[in-house]
Amino acid sequence: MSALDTVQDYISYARELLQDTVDSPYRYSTADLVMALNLGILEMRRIRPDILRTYLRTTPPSYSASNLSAAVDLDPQYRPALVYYIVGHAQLRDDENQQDARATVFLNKFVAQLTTIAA
Amino acid sequence: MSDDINRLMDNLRVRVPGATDPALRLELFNVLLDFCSETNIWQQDIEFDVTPGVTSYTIEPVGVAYINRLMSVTDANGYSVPAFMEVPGTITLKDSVSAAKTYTARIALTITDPVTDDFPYLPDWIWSKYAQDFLDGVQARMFSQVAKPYSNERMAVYHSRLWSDAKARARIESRHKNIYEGQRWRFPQTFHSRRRR
Repeated sequence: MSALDTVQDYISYARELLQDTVDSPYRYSTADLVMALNLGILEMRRIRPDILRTYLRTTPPSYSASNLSAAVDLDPQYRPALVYYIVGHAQLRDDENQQDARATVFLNKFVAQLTTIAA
Repeated sequence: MSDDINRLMDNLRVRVPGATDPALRLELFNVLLDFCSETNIWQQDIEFDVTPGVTSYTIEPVGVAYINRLMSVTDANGYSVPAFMEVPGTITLKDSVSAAKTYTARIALTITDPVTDDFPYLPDWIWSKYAQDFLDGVQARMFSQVAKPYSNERMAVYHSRLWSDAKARARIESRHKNIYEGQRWRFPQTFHSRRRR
């Protein structure tokens, strides 16, 4: 079984990068992170349609915070890129300069991993 | 899935880093379609009964295949019969026959849907013989894609040349039925002269 199989796996790993692992409550809600995952998939569809080839003629998959055990059908080599998108998107809403820079880094890394080999 | 296909896919995964399997299979289908259409490498003989007064006959290939060209129509004695195929699958004889008989149509085929495990049906001997050439064809198409990690114009051109050569070679081999040195044409030696006249 490879890493990042389910929605929960993506949320958990993203929380580690966001340093938001203590539920008291979470700084970034699960619903927001799942929304970021859905948006990331749409971005993938735009930049690399071949990654979502099974959805070329249909609507890309959409996930919900009410079903975190749902499997995310994605080529294993591009799963980490989606995590970086989730983290970057979550940090976009913060208005501190440092967070803006981090958000940009993660979003750029997402794009770089989709379009270049050494990224 | 045959060993040839597995080996071909493994080679592609290594040589085209960052490519997804669905993308490789999509381009492989395009390559196989191009190869069969241009080389006439995949041929079948189909017998069909002809009757007086009828000039148009429908034939179907054996197996999952699409009729691409009519190579020839021959009678029971092997003599050529004038015929054409305006619509693939429908043979029209130039002249109606005077008595019922059986003709043989040699047709060139190409791949078609449905595919199994995302691979179209192709005779095993073609996979075995031309696997290395398919490798060049798929690489040429993959490297020519834009905004991909594996986009590479130079390698696309390089493999595209190899692919064109492979198709030309296969076309000749098909024509000469894989006979070694099937074409031994030489410029007429009677014209070879070093003397000035």
